[in-house]
Amino acid sequence: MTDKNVIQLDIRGQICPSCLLLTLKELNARGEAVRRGGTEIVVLTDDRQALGTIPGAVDKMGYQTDVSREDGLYRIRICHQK
Amino acid sequence: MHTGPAATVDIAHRHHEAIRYIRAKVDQLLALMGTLPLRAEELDDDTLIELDPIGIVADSFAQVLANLGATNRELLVARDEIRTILDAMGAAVVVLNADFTIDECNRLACEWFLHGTEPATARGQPLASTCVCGAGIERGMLAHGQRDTDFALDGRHFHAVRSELPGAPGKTVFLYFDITRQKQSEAQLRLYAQVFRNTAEGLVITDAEQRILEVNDAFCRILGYRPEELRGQTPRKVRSGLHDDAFYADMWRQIRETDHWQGEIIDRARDGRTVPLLETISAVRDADGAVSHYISLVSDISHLKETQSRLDYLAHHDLLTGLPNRLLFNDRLEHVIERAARDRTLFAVLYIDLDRFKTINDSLGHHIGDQVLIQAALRLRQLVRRSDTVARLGGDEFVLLLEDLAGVEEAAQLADKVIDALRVPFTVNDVALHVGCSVGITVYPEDGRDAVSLLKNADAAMYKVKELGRDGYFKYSEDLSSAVLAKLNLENALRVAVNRQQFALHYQPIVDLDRGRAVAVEALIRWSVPDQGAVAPEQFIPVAEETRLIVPLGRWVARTAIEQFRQWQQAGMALDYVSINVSAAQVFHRDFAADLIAVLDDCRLDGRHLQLELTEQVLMYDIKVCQRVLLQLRARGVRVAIDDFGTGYSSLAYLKQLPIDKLKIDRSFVRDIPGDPNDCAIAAAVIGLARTLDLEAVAEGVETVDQERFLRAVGGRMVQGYRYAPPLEASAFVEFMAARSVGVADSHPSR
Repeated sequence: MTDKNVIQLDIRGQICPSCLLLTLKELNARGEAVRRGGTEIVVLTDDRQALGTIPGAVDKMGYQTDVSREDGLYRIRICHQK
Repeated sequence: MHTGPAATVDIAHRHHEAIRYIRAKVDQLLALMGTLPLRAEELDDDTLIELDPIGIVADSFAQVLANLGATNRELLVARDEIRTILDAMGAAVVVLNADFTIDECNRLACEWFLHGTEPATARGQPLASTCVCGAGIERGMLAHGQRDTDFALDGRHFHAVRSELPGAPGKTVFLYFDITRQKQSEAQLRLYAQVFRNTAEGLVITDAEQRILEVNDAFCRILGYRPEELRGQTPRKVRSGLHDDAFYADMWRQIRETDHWQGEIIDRARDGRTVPLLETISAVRDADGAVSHYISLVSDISHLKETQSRLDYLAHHDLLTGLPNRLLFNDRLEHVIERAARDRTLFAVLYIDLDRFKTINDSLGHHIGDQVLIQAALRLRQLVRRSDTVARLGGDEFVLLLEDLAGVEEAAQLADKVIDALRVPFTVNDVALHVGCSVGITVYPEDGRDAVSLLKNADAAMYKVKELGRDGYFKYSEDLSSAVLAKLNLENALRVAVNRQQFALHYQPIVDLDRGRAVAVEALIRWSVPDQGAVAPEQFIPVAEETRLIVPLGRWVARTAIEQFRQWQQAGMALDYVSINVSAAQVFHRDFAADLIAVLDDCRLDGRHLQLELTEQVLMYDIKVCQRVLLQLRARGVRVAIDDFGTGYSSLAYLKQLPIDKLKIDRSFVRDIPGDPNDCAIAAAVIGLARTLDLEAVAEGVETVDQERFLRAVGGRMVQGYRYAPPLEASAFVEFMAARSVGVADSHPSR
């Protein structure tokens, strides 16, 4: 766990489709690193709608996501597909 | 460039149009990405440009496309993998679409059913036009809702299984397995079962612990069991108890070592019978080499055994007496020699020859002779232990094999018993026949170490007994063999002499003391062998009797004597009769009387001029036959004298049944008179007896005047001996007779 490079993207207050665009933008920039496996992006959002849009889009791009809920906000972890 | 209100309006319009276009395209792209359209109130135009959603989405699309490409490549690889796997399968696979076109198929399917088409070519084709069976099987399975079915195609057998593809509605998967070998195995098994049931040989299959799993009908038939009585049992159930443990141990040792045993075995049937079987046992091993089953094949060889043992019996036994024959005897002798050599024990061979048997056989016929042999065999068998062997070597020759002998005396004791037993008359058809026997003994190892010498030497010893007067035994010793050789030579010489008639008759006068002259003549045979000189009658007559040469010899004697007498008679010689000696073999020969009568007729001589001299023994063989023969001759006037009277054991009652004229007193009683009172008493008694029976007595061997005087004193009248004349050649006899008178002493002793 310690050697993983985790990039946190805090987009609380944003609503879709901004949430998605911001996530895609981050992923466009970091895609290479995430696909190599050493890096993952964790998106923190309070927009419930983002839970439908972000994983759907990210899946099509070939990444894996998992979603968890922490203290009223959502945590979407994006990593390379195993 | 123009600037003005119109231009400004135009620019604003275009900007507005561009923004609208960007928002529309962004929304379109976002919809493709699966999210909501951008709302104007959320993102003003300037922020929109600044954010560059098209750029973001375009970059993301690049990633989506790259991901799609990778996914497609993986899918192709996966499809190829699946096809490779399908092709590698040992079964044929066909996936059909709902319209019965081929969706997928593997190589085996193409090879078996699709005329060898490439799978790639076959896909998409209608099955009905591609498949060798026109899709009939598949349509049938679908129509009848069958999950699986078996079918045959071009001599091969297949098992087809149908299944639906849950993820692909309308598609059906068919799997086909080649079950040709299985079907062949099944057919073979059916055939084997048929063979098992119907073969004439008995078959038993057991497991490795010898529990019977299966038996066939033949096995049940042979031993009389029902299959259920045998299943679960071990073959011990049918053991006969006739084989020892070593037999079975040996059998199993061989099965362990070679997986195989074959041999003859005797089992016991359900009803207690023993059944001889030819059995083959084979071990069956499983893939790991461990014995899994035993198969046993049996044939009933009862018939074979019966035939074999019957043949064996015939080959080794004398059918008349049931005794072992020469072949079996030789076998046993060899065996006993081996054992005696190993254990250093003694055993004896007793060679037994019946005396006077040939005479009985010839005169009374074979059926009577056979009865004597049967009874003799029975008597011999009763004399020995079960372990001893009694065999018939042929003719009237028997042999005893006496094992585990304590000493020579034991053999001698048995020989005595044998002689006693065979001396008792044999009764056949109410007639008592006197036989007797001669026994030769050899003892191993001193009289021979091999079968041939032991038998040959026993035979030689037996012949010695014959020479010594029969009715006794003789133990072999080495100097006997030279005697046997001499006898053999004699036999051969005799045969030659009979053929060439190298004999002569000598004539001894029989003197009537009262008349003082010779009144009759006894013809005596003489034989002289070229280069060897004279052979005494005591030596060659027994051989002639034994070899039956006595018959032609006796015939020659009779004819010569009769012819001679007739000649002398015609010459005027005054003689009452000529006396000739006849032996048993002659008298009991069926043509004896007829032959003699023919000679008499031939020579025109009256029967009363011929006298036959027979010994007591001859008469005792068979009184009935003697009586018949002698009466026949008596009818022609022929006289009968008993020779050597007093040496035998004739019963007077017997003598009275016979037409007898004379008793000849044996020279052994005459020799010592008048000095020996016993002999004197005997001579006097015979003369007295003769007178009582109204017979004439003739004393033989008279040599001295004292003998003559004594005989005369006790009433003897007829004499014969050197005192008067020795046996003379014919010419000398004529001279003797020409002298006319004989020097006879005064009837009153002048001492």
